[in-house]
Amino acid sequence: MPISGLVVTIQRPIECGAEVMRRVQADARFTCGEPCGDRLPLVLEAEDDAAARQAHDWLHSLPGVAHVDVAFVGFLDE
Amino acid sequence: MRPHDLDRRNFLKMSALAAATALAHAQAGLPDDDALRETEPLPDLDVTWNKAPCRFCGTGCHVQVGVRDGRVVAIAGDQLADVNKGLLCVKGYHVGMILYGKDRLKQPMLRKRGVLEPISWDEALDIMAKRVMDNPAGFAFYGSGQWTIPEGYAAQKLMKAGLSSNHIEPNARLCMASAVTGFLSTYGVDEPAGCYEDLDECNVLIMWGNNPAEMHPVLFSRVIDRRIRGDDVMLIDIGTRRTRTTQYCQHYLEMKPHGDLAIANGIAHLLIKNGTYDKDFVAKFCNFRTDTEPTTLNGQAIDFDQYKQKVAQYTPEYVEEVSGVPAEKIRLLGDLFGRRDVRITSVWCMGMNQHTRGTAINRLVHGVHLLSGHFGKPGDAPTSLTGQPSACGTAREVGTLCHLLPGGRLVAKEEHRRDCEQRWNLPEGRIKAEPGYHTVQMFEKFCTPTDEGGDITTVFVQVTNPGQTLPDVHRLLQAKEKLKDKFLIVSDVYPTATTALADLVLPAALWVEKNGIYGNSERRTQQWFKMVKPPGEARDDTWMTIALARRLYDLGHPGMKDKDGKFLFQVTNDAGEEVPVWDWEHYYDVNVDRALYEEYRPFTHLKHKNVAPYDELVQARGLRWPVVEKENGVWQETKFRFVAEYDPFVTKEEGVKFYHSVTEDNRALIWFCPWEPPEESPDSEYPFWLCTGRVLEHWHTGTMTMRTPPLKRAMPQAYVEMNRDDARKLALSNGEIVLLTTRRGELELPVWIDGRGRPPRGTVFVPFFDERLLVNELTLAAIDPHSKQPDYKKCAAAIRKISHTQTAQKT
Repeated sequence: MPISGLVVTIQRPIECGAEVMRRVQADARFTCGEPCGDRLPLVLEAEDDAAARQAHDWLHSLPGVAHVDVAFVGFLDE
Repeated sequence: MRPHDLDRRNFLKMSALAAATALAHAQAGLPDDDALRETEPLPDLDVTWNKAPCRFCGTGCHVQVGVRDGRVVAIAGDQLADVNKGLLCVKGYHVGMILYGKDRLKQPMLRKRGVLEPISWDEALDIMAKRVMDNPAGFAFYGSGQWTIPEGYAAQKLMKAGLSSNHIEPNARLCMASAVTGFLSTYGVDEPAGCYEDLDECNVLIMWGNNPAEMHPVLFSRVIDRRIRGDDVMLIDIGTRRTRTTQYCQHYLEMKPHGDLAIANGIAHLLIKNGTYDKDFVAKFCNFRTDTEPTTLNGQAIDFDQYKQKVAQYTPEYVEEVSGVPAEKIRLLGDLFGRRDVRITSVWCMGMNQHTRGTAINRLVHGVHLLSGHFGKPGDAPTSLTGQPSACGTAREVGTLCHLLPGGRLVAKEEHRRDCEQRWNLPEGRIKAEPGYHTVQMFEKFCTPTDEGGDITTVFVQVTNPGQTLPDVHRLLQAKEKLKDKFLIVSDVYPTATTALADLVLPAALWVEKNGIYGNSERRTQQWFKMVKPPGEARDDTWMTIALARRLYDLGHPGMKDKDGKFLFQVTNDAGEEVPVWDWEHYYDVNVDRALYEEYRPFTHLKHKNVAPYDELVQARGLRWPVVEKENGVWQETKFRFVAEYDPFVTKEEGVKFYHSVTEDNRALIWFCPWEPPEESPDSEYPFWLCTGRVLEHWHTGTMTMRTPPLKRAMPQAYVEMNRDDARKLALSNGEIVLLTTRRGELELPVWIDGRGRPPRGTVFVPFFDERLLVNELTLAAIDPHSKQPDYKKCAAAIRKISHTQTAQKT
């Protein structure tokens, strides 16, 4: 089960980040950290790599998201 | 879920959040990053964290490697690393998985009756030593830009100091040799003057045949991140096909293959015609040269008027005719270079290097920057990128090419040979003056029958996969199979296209299974320590080289002793006692990497490439040479070379000083090199251009990334990328299988229309990562006359639809 640390960059103006935040927080796959300016750190837990990729793509497709960077990948035995 | 799994899961979640939070703070530009980094360390929980440069490309990102119970369990971007500032690309954050492919090589194997069978290390070393003793002159060593600095240095010393042979090459010949000859013939010394901070400072970034969005994504993200923050950065892509990079660019200049030479000359013409070249910079710091017929590395001196006359024919209209790039776009480039209020950085990699006019185009891009004065200020730089993690550190600086000695010395120069002999305590004359075989020659000789002049009979390959990367690989390596007296020794971590041809296979330690030092694209030397044990009987490549040398010493090979009869690789402990490091049981009794690196370090001073002491590297996330000790005892790195404000070897009064100038007057050379057509062009029989290269998910031949499940799933096999109109004309749709043919071979591949890359009509692209689909059976072995680097980017090909099946295969 892959676990990733991600950083979402909110498009400017960052007010549109509120909706991004709401949708991410409502999604059980993600655990959010403290926002930092236009950056939102979060953890993604997924069932498998395909699900992780899907979640990553979903994040990227949210209105107001400029960028999704990966900061960390932990691997349970593949 | 077991309690242990839960602990581990929690640990991973905490680590992931800590890393993401730290990265978010760093990216948001909080005022005190260092303080933040200190207050938010990655969680411990029985995990040991340590730094290492990433194993893949030449960017040199640092990762934090989390090890628990002797196994790498997590990877985080290193917040303290200037190169990547905590970021990693898709390959980088999966780099830990490369160690754990199910088919790791774990013991030496000898081919007997066509089958590889396990043998002991003792037997393997005996066989290798016998091959060398029987024919020392027929032995060649082939390594890579993935060799660590000590690995390359040991191989170099074994060959040039021990065996008096210059038949040693790195695969870097295939990837950056043209950059080397470009730097040498322009500045008199190799490697870039600038650094990655140019990407943070430039107003215009020009990518010459370069796709950094896929090949150097972390560097590219530095520029894209500036845009997100509101910086106005103009991106210009000059290429032969649209790539992911193109999507981010304001300007895409689609050129015909070799069009880059005309474009660069066209810029120079406009700078002179418009009177916008930097007259003061040129007058103070530049001389002019032209290519000659026949061409030579140092060409012929000309003056400004002669230069002006030569570039005069490269009007925008002529450049459009030759390159296919509209004249207005050439004027755009000319105008940009003519402006003093913008800073321009040019980057390039294989597009300019894998080019039969590679040296020429490298010279021309340097020349455009020199002529326009867009040089020597942060953001104003011509910078070549490398594809391998230590192409600079090991191939170029250690000098593992067949004509080099350590630290930029040349085998052909007597004073350089004498200097090396003195430093290695060798009898005078030990080092041979004649350069060895360059890569293509080496394998041509290996694949030619011995009685027909094929005088290379044994090749020892370390850390690379020529069975997949050599051009025209049928002729240059697979042909060896029919020659029974030829012997191929391969050290690697996984079975590869090369081990499939090998007579003796040696299992190697990989990345953090050994100590190491790399040198990245921006002159940054990076060190790491061994963190986990290699599997089975896999061992360090440096050890293999030393153990072979010791076998030769024991057999009485005179070259394995110095002038005083001491073993060539004598390593002592703190008490001054010799440690038998050739015996694996004692290899890690001392830090052999440190010993070899410190022996090598003084070699770097001649060309002012002073690398940092090993113990300083231990503390740092790499240091950019020249690294000099200040009066206060601090070792200071250099961001920008040849410029007084930054370079310790240039005084304030001198301003800019090219202190290894070809013309010995501290000036750089602005070259004129004419446009010439490619070696092979499409015709009625082979109507397409074939270009090859890499993709984001896979690194080089895919031996590591194809064993990393998420990467393999993301990009499972090679394909041929086609233009939609061409596909329609051939009645092809996505996924259909075609036969791709060149004059050298043929290959069945599925078609990808308008996929990630979008070639223009008449061009196809095939990535080379897939060992089941060896596109280098089709590529051309034509080489640049100076760099001897092959051109993998252009040859003529034909395409024929053969079926609707989805399974491609080698024919």
